Parts: sequence; structure tokens; C-alpha cells
Amino acid sequence: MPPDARAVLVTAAGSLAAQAIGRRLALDGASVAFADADRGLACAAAEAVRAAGGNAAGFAMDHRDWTSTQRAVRAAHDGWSGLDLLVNVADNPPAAPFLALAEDDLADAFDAPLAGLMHGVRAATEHMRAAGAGCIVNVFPLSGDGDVLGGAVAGGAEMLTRAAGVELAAVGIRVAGVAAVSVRDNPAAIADAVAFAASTDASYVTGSTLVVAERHTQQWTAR
Amino acid sequence: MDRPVAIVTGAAHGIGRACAARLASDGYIVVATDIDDAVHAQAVAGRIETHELDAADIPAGRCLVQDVAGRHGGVDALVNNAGFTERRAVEQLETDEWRRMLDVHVRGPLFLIQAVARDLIRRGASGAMVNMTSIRAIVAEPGQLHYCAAKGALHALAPALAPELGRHNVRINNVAPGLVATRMTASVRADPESLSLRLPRLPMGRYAEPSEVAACVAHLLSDEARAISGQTLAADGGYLAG
Repeated sequence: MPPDARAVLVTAAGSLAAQAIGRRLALDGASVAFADADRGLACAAAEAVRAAGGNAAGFAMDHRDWTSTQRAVRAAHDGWSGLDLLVNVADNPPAAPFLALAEDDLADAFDAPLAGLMHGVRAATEHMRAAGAGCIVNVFPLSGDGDVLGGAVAGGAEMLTRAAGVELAAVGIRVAGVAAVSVRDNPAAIADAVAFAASTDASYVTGSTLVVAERHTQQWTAR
Repeated sequence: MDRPVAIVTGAAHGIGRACAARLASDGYIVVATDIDDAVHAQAVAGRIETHELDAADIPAGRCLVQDVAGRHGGVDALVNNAGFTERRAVEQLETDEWRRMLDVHVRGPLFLIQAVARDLIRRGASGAMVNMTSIRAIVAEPGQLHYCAAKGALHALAPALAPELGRHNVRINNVAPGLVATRMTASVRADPESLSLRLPRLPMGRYAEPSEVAACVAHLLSDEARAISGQTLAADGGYLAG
């Protein structure tokens, strides 16, 4: 872990990917704040890291809600006396068959993952701009074959990452993406990719998304 | 054979208006919609009918498809063109602005695709759809976080849906315009400094007329493109290639 990423916030701490990422960064020497809409899950993730010898704390944060996100990011920033890295984790959308899709199906499957990423980027930027430095890594799922909402989330998240990257480069904030076929699968590989994207080894990387997948890359590379 | 029926959203101005005119001249009965009541100026008896529709209004979109199908026997083609842009720095981007951007560009179009697809499948008819994405679905720009994310999500629908819709002989593709002479780009085109930065990045050295984008849409909807689905046709003067 580079010395410039000591203070870290990892969202969606109830997910295996977030827990693996936070654990990896903490054992590399970072102080890790875990945040989740379920505060109990965030605190449990932090407790597991502390039991392994790392420094961590848990916070309540509902990604979908701007005020809640802003409050949690500020709490993490104040708790660690700064915020070097936000690991912004989008949940897996549940797969839904397109022709039977109902309007309500979009709330959890499409709206929440993308709005969560946007809120996280905005909240972290408020602190990182003042510091003139920082890194944001958006972690999101790639879609499966024919999964229209998953595809839309992945397409939106990749472009959100690019747009944030090109805008925030001027103020010293790097933004990268890590996309996996499932953020529930292979959390250690996702954690490895996040650790690289957040490190000084990736100092010239911004707006770009690393794909952690053994397959399903053909559609992705079409972009 | 009866004339095919095409719905074009965002048809009061610019690219949508050009699409409505082009498809009407290609022999479609065109249903032109827009949130702006100026759309009614496009009405041509027997060729273009006009409706006020907020592209984000999912129930209203479903009603329109049912109404059009009831009156004309079905909907054969859809152009999800409605859109808008606005500049917002990341820290100024409010949640309801984000939401509106995604509602207009993704949620509304998704359910219009579904409604038209259900009509086509019910009739056992073939059909074609085009989503108007953007070079900003592929290459980002500062101050456009919500626009880029929304266009990126819209852009992903065609490849994700092409396999399922293809089984029903329904095709879906993207047209990705670059700089086009529309109201959306008026401020850019009126600013010599902005234009002098952008034009050199366009291999063809000029912006597009809306009719040139509409021509790409007409091709993808036509039988000449019967083997093409899930693809993106960039109408961008070579921007993405360069």
C-alpha cells in the first residue's frame, strides 16, 4: 500500500467484495471505514478486520440517499483525519427478464447501484478537492448474457467512471473502475485489482476500468 | 403492404425532427412525440401525427404505444431519440437532476422498447429500433457526469437486448452522433473559441446536419440492415475513429 492511501472508505460493506477489499487494504496498513445501509454489517466487517490486526471502523450509510452518503463520508474523513481513497462498491443488480420487467424492478436493480456510485463520487470529491489529492475506485458488476439491467448498470458505471476521471484529473483526483462478472464471485481477485488501481503504480491511470473476468469480455470490449 | 408505423421521440427539433421527416418520406406513418408542444408543427396529414409525451413518463409511453397500435394495427419501428444535456460540476450535481437525466435517457426508452417489442411479438411481426446514444456514451467530457452515465447506460441496452429480441425477429441498434447542428449544440457552435477547439478533433472537419444522422437511423430501420442488431453506428465525422 502506498503511503498516500492511509485513510480509506469502503461502501456496500455487507458484500463479500467490499469485505475482501477492506481487509486487503487494512492489512496493507490503511485505516478502513466500512459503510453499509445496515450498520450492523458495516460494524461486523470492521470487527473482522480488527480481529485480524487491522484498523477499521463501521458506519451507517445508505448509498441511495445523498444526505446519508455525505454524512458517512464526512464521518470517515473526520475519523481518519482525511480521506485518501473511496472504494465505491455497487451491488449486483438482480437479473430480471426483459419482457416481464416492471417499473418497480428498476429501483433496486438499476437506480440504486448507479445513484450510489454518483453520490459516493460527489461526497468524496468535496473532501478530496480541498486536499488537492485523492483516489476513487468504482467497483461494479459486468452484466451476464442478455441481462439488460446489469448491462445498463455496467454501461452507466463505466461512463460515470470516465466522466469523473476526466473532470477530476485537473484537481488531482484519480478515478478508476474495477468491473467483475459478479461482485460476489472471486472477491480476492477484485481486491487485488482495487489495490492496484488505488496504488501509486496506477498513478497515470484515470477514467479507466479494469475488467476482472475470465469470460464475458467480448461485449465489454465492444465499447 | 400497409405502410409501416414508426414512433420517434424528441421529434420537435433537431435530430428527432429530421428522423420524423426522413421516415415519413421513406413511406412510414410517423408518430412524432416531444415534451415540447412545438412538435405539433411537424404534423403532416396522413404522414406524421404528433403527440406531447414526456419521454420519462413510462405509463404515458405505454398508453401511446397501445393507442397507436390500436389505430394503425401495430408499431413496426421505434426511435428513442428524446434527450437533453446540461453542464454540472460533480459537486453541483443534485440527485433529482441525476434522476431526471436517467429517467429521460434510460428508464423511459427501456419501457418504450418493451411496449413496442410486446406489440411486435403479439403480432408475430418483425421490427427494428434505434436508440440515439452519443459519442459521450463512449468518450467522456468534464461537466457531463450524469449525461455520460445516462448515455453509457442507454448505449448498453442494444447489445444486451439484441439476443432476446432477435429470437422474435426484432432488431435493435444504436446511432451515436457527434457534434450535430441542433439546439443542444447551439452554444458550442456559436462560440468561436469552443468551435476552434472541437472542429480540429473531427476528421471530417465539420459538424453534422441532423438529416445526416436521420439517414443513419433510416438505414438501420430499413430492410437493408436486416442482418444488423446490437450494434452502434457512429455518425460522428470520424471522431471516435481518430
